[in-house]
Amino acid sequence: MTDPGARDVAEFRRAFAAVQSELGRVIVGQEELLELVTIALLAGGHVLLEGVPGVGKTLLVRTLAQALDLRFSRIQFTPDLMPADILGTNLVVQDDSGRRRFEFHPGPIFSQIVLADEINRATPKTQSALLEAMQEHAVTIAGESRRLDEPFFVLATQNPIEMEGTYPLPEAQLDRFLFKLRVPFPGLADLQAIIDRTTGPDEPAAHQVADGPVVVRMQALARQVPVATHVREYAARLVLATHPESPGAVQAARRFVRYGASPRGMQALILAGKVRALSRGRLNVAVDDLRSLAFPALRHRLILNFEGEAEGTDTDAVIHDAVREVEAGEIPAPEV
Amino acid sequence: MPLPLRELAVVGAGLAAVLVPMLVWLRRPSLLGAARIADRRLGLADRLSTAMESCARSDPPRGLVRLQIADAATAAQGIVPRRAAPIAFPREGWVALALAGALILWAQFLQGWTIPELPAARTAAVIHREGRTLVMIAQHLEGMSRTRGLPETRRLAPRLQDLGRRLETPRVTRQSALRSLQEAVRELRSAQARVERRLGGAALQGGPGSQGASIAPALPAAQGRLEQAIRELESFAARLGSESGAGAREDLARRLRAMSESLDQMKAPASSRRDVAAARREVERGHFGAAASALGDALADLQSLERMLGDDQALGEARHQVESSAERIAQGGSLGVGVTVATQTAPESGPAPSAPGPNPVIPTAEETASPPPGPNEGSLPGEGRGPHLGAPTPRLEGSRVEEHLAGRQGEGTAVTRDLLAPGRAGAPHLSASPVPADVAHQNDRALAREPLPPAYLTLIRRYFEALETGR
Repeated sequence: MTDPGARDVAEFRRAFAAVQSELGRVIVGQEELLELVTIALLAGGHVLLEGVPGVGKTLLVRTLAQALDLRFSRIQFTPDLMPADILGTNLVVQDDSGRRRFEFHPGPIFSQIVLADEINRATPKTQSALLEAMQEHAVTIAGESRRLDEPFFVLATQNPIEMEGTYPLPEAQLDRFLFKLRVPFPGLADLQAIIDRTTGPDEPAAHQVADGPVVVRMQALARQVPVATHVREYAARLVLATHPESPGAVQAARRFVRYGASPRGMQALILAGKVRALSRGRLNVAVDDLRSLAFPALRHRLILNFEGEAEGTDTDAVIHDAVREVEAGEIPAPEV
Repeated sequence: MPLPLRELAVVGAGLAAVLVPMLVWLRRPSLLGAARIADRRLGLADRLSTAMESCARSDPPRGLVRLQIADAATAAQGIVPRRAAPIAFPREGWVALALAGALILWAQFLQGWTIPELPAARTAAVIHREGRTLVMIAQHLEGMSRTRGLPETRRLAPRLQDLGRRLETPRVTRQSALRSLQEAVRELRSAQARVERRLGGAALQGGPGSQGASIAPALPAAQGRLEQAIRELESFAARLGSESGAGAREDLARRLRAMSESLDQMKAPASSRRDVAAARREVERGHFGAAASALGDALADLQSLERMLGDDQALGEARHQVESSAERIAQGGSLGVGVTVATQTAPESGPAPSAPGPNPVIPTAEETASPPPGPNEGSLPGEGRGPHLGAPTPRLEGSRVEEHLAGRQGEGTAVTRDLLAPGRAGAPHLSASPVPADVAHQNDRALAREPLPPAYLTLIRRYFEALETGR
């Protein structure tokens, strides 16, 4: 990318605001959720949505695809879903001359926005089919590696109440999601608005406000946002505070956590912080950005120990303690 | 020893004035630190600190970094330095100021207030104790001055009592106590000088060259002889009223001649000597009435002289007590343990106990030595504080005598002895000693005056006889 200028920053802010606006036209409420999903997309990450059915998860993904003019696919994860059902497969086809050859039929992963619905219902083997795609933005089928189109954004959902017959996501796969977002149930006013919007003669639809190349440029621009030393240090301290064996661990982490957040969590904090800063017209990451992003970026990266599981401890409580107790670093000493 | 609060307050304020700016200067933040402080104070979301870091790098800023620096510069233009970095007083400075303020308040309003267990508290206790002693002495002096008619003592006793009560009140500083005591000493000394001038005028010593000279050193002996002379003159006057025979006349004349010689030897006032000589002559002539009148004049002169001597002695002892109190207060609580001897003198003149008296109480080396430290020090016998009980604390071997002598405070030398040190084993050390003649005379005279029951009279007489024989 060439040296960005003020125009690129302005374009970023405009596009971000436009996407938010279009999502808001269709999705009722959930402003924070919409912002975080957009941040994850522009940070080049993926999102794990957790919420009960019917709160608009699929609608959100579809609207996002419409607003950004990206190819969208939806995979309903079931226990009998196979990796080939996601990645695609080589089929034997016969041409007009009668010759037979293998022809690759891409699976639904070959989209730009993939909705992995109820991902925890598929077997770990199938879930792991997403691993390479999410991390490398490429899949390997029959020994041949195939790049996925950019931007590539996976938005997985899981239902927190129907846990019977599910396969909880392995830690390695959870770590690949930039954010884990909880979709709250709408309030009274939002429910009334949903009735108005969805049961009338005209259903609202999102208009395209950007496209794939714009999103890729926005992602590249976000990565250039400078981060001060004390902000980087804060991110590192925050992650270390969740590690029970770390000297800076908070009391809740020492008691309830088996493994703390990984370095990916720190990367997620910084990357998402850069996008958030730009979306607010700021050209640097602030400690406040990290504080507000700590919960979605870290909550799925903490693994509780037996006591934590037995007491029903929420990882958000550990992160809350860490955010409260970790300082942004000492003021530099006087210059001599 | 009380703390010099004013000086401490001044020193504390001075230190605060020097140390606080120095502390502020030493703890000033760096440029980056200042940027972070401004970010935090003005809500700049780390703009300035990020830009400061970017500027500190060696490579020239490009792309977003350049834009960010420009953005920070724009934000910095609106900064009011006073808002960004208000003059913040460090916490240590506030603490120092509060301490200095507390010291000033203490010095101003709580002067004399002490913390228990500190030397100042012990000094306060000493001041209180000396005040109580002075009150008791003043009450005694007042009673004595009434019974014996001592004008100067009667005038000064209430002031001494007021001084004692003032020292008994809490929060009296050592300086003010010493000031008051010095003032009292000056008053007592001045009053004593007046009395001694009058005594010199009365010319107990007779000669013109001795007019106005101090007679204090001769007081104890002179007082004893004077009392004896008064007693004899009283008996002569009584005999003049009841006897008139030739034998009595010769005997009285002989005795009066001896009395004249005695008065000459003791250098009694010339008027009294003249009156006694005149009385002798009248007796020899057989004019008993005129002789009684002359003896009455002589008796009045000698009694007046006796009152002056008593005044002088009482004032001297009061002064001695005030000076001792001042000395104890000046030394603080260091005299808290030891033997103190307080001597009070009765109306009838006796030897001055301030100097070694007729029956001096001299503490032995065993009494003055500090008791050995032990696990049960300061406890009841056999009830020590430590885990292992030691031997019972040695106590004085004595038994209380449940006998009381009814009556009011009379004459005689009253010697009180306060034992403030812990007791130790051994027999009581108040050994019997021969009773001097003047004490025996005082006793006889007091017994003659007081309407005592015969049984008590016998008991007291036997007691003094036993003392005299050393039994």
